[in-house]
Amino acid sequence: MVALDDVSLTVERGEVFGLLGPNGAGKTTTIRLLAGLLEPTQGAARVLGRDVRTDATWVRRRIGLVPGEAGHHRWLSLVEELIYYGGLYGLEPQECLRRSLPLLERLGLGDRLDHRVSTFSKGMRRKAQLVRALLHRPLVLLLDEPTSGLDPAVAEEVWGLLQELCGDQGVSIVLCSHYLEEVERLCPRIGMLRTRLHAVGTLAQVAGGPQTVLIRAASPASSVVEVAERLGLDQGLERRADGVRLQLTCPAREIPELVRALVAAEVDVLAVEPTGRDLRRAYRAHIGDEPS
Amino acid sequence: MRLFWTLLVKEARSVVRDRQNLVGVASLAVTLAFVLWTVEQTAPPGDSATGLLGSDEVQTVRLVVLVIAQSLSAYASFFAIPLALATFVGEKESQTLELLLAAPIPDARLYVFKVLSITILGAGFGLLLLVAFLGWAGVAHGAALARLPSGELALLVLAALPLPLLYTLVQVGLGACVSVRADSMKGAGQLLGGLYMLGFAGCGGVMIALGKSRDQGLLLIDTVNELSFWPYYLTTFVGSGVLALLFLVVGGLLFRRERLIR
Repeated sequence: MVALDDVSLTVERGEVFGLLGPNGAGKTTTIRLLAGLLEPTQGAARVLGRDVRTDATWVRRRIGLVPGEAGHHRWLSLVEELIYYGGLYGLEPQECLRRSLPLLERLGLGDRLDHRVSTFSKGMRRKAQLVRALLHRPLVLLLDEPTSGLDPAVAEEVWGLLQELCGDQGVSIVLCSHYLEEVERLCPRIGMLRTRLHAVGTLAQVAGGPQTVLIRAASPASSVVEVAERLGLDQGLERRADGVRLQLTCPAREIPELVRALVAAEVDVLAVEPTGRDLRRAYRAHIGDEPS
Repeated sequence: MRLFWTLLVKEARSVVRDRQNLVGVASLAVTLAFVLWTVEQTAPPGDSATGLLGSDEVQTVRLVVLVIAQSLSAYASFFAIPLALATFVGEKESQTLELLLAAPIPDARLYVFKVLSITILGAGFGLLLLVAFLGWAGVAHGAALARLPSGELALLVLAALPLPLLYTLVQVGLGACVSVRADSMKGAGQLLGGLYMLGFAGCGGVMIALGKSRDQGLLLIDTVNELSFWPYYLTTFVGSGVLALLFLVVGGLLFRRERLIR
């Protein structure tokens, strides 16, 4: 059985590359190939310019991996587990603590150091896995559905951290997901995978032009425009007969913000209709299945 | 050394905190008590002392010390079997293997360090048992032990001490071979059970062959008193060492990241 065929892509430094596809599409295999856990039967995988087969140890030292289904050691506390994984990368226990504490505090796990990870909720475990993956300060992060099963607030925290990592620290991230919202929010470039790479490029290239939203309201259009300008959504703003069209950069975040602001400004909203870019439609067109 | 220490500490924490291991520790303690009681109660006919170790026969004292040391070491080595089975397939089942294999550790070092950390824990229990027995023998039967030729007691203790390590290495080697190939802990248990049955059947065949040899006057070993002490010790020592080495090498050759991760 062929898991991956004719897959060719490059991820730049500091870029979050999203790999979309249904279950069994080959996303996990791609991650495992890049992490040097599997060897390609043909072709090559390079990380930071080095072949993952011939320089496996060098590459692994610079990769942080969050597998799709990562477990925990039943008898270890959070701090013991972090020290254990740090030790696998040659880190002293004190150094593990020094590096992990700020991250744990930020993700709300600072007071759970002595608790066994096996007693954590799914969201807490996922956050612990992310901290573990960042302990050795990797230059490349391979994330296999990092927010799968997380509640929106936790997912939001994780997304914020990932954006900082690539923006401030230049970490390159390969993010496998079947959550369109996550990919749309984080990834300037995406690939659609189902054994083969069916489409690859920027969001606009794969899913069509810029994402826009049409606001239809019973209140005067000027009240909608006022709110949009206050939120900095005035670029590409267009007054139309049927409402006000706005151009968005991150619909998953901006639409809820916009609706909240419109309600707070007592604008009588009749409809909020996403238009323009449609990742869902593109997914259906390239992959054939309905996305999550 | 940081890597080895990391693996050893993790395994030790898991062993100590898993209450199921208390059953093994308790059974080892009961075994030791039973062995000591047996030694105390049983004496060869005609001997004046109350137990085997109080025997007037130097050869008997010598053999009793060694055979009991071997038995305790072999018994204690069974403690390492579940640990060895869990080395790789256990991690796979608990979904921690992928992260371990993704660490920057060359295959050979990962295999050797994982196996060694389990061996040290397993052998530690055997060594405790052995030291308890030797301590008891010294206190309860110091006079009988003092009848051994000069320096032989020290040699006997030195010969006994590596046994827990050696026998544990055999078990861990076999367990590691199974662990790198099995797809689940259940499968590993079944595979190991099958191998043990093969081993026991083989041993039975050897015993029958030896019995026939004795009948034909070919066998040198007949009763305990006729046993030639050091050749017997060296044969079992070298035999176990070869077996341990064989299992460990085969386990190392079978170790494949790709196979494990599937």
